[in-house]
Amino acid sequence: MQYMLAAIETKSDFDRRSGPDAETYWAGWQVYTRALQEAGVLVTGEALNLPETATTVRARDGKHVIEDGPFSDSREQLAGFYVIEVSDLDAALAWAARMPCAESGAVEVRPVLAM
Amino acid sequence: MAAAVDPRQTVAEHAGREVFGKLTSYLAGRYGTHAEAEDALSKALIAALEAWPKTGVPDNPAAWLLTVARRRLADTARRGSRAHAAQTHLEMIQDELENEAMTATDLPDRRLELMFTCTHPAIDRALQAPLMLQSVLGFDAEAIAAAFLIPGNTMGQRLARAKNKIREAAVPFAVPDEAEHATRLAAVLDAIYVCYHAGWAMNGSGSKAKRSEGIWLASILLHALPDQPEVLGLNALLLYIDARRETEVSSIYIPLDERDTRAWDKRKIHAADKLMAKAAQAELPGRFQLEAAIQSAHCDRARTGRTDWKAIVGLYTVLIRLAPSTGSTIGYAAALCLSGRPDAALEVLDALDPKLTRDHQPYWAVRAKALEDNGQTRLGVEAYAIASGLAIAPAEKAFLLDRMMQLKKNLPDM
Repeated sequence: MQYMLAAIETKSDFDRRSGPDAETYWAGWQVYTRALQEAGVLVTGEALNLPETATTVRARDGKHVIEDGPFSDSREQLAGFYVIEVSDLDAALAWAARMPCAESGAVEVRPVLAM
Repeated sequence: MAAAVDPRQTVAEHAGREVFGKLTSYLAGRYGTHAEAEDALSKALIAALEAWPKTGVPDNPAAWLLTVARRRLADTARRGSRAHAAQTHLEMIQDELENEAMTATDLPDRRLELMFTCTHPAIDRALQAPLMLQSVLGFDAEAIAAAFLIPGNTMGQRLARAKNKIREAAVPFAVPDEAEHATRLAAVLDAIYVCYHAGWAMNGSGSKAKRSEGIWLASILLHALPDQPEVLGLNALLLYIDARRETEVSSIYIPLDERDTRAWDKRKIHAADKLMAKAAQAELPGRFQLEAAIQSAHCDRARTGRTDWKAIVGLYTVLIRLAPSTGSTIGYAAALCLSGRPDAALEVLDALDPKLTRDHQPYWAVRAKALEDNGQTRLGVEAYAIASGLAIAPAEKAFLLDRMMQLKKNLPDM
C-alpha cells in the first residue's frame, strides 16, 4: 500500500526554517528522510517553500480567479509531503508519528489511490 | 410486562450470530473487509433468523449462510464487479470449509482481530461500538441506529463510510503487538461497554432478552483472552449489573440500595465473583475491575443486608484517580452523600465543569439528594426539578418529581 504523509506545520515551524535554530530544524527532516530511505519505504517526497509564496487559482464562470496565498487561510499549512510504501495503515501511522512536525503541527496520512 | 421470548428464537439467534461473526472475521482475514460480502451475509442472517426457529438450526449453519448469501449476490453480480468479487470470495470460503469438512464449532474464530479492527484509532470513536455490533454480531443498521438514537439511513451511511475507510486505507486486521496492546484493548473494552448500555437504552421497556449484546461481545473477548484482568473485570461488571436488571425494568423507580435483593440473579453474581477472584490474581487493577468491585459491593447487600458505603467510597477514590471521568466523579459524590457526608459530596460536584453537567441528569439527581441531606432545602427542590425535567425514563422522572414535592413541604410558606 502507498500512503501520502502530508507534513502540516504551524507558523512558528515555518519561522524556524530561517531562525537561529534553522540547522536543527533541517537536520530533523534530513534524519527522518534518511530513516525512510534506510527502511526502503520511501517512494518520493518534497519539501515546499513557505505558504506565502503560494498562489491559488480557481476557474469560475469561464474566468480565472487568481489569489495570493494558499487555498485555505488556516493557521496550519502544508509544508511538504512524502509518499511511502508500507504494508498497512498501522505502519504508515508509525512513520507519521516520527515526522518532525507531528509534535507541533500535524501529519495527514492518506492512502494513494491506485489507478 | 415484557413479551415472553421463544426459546427456539433464542437458540436460532445465538447460532446465527455466532456463525455470522466467525464468517465475517474469516472473510476479513482472507480478503480484507468486504462490504458487499458482509452485506450479503447479513441478509442471509436475517433469512436464517426467520427460518431457523421453525425448521431448527441446520447441521452446518455456516454452509447454510454462505449458500444463501451467494445466491443473493448472484443477481447483483451481473451489475457490478465488486459484487462479483464478493461472490467469488464467499465461494472460495465455502470450498475451503467443505474441503476441510469444517462445521460451525471448528470454524476458525478470528473475531478478536475483527474487534481490534472495529476499534482502531483511525475509526471515528462514535462509530466503533456500532461497527462492532454490525460486523461481529450481524445487527442491521436500523436496529443499531435505534439504540444510538440516530436515523437508520444516517447510521447506514456512516457504517458504510467506516467500512470503506477500513478497506481503502488498509486498516490492519490483526491483534496489536505488545507495545500497543494495552491501549488498543482499552478501546475494545470501552466499545463493548457502550454496546451494553446502548442495548439497555434500546430495550428499556421492551424485551429483556435483547439486552445481551454487550454481554455477548464481552464473553467472545473473554474466550479469546481468558487471562486479561480487565477483560475479566468487564465481564464481571456486566454480570453484576445484569443480575439486578430484573428489578430495574419495573415501572416504579426504586433507588439501588432499597431494591428487593431476592429478585437478583444469584447465579450471575456468583459467576461474576469467580471472574473477579481470577482477575485479582494478576494484581493489575484497572478501570473495569474497580467498577466491577463497586457493583460487587452493591450486590453484597443481598448477603449482608446493608450497603457498605464506606467501602464504596474507598473504591471510587481509586477509580477516579485511575480513570477520571464525569460519570465516576458523580458516582463518587453519590457514595459520599450516602455514607453520610453530603457536604463532601457537594464539594466534589462543585469541582466539575458546569459546561459538562448543565444538562446531565445524574449530576442533578445526586446534587439534589446531597442538598436535601445537607439541609439546603430550597436549592434541593430546585435541583430535583431540574433532575426530573432531564430524566428520560418515566419511572425515574416520576420518582424525582415526587422527591421534589415531598421536600417542598418542608419549605416555609411564602
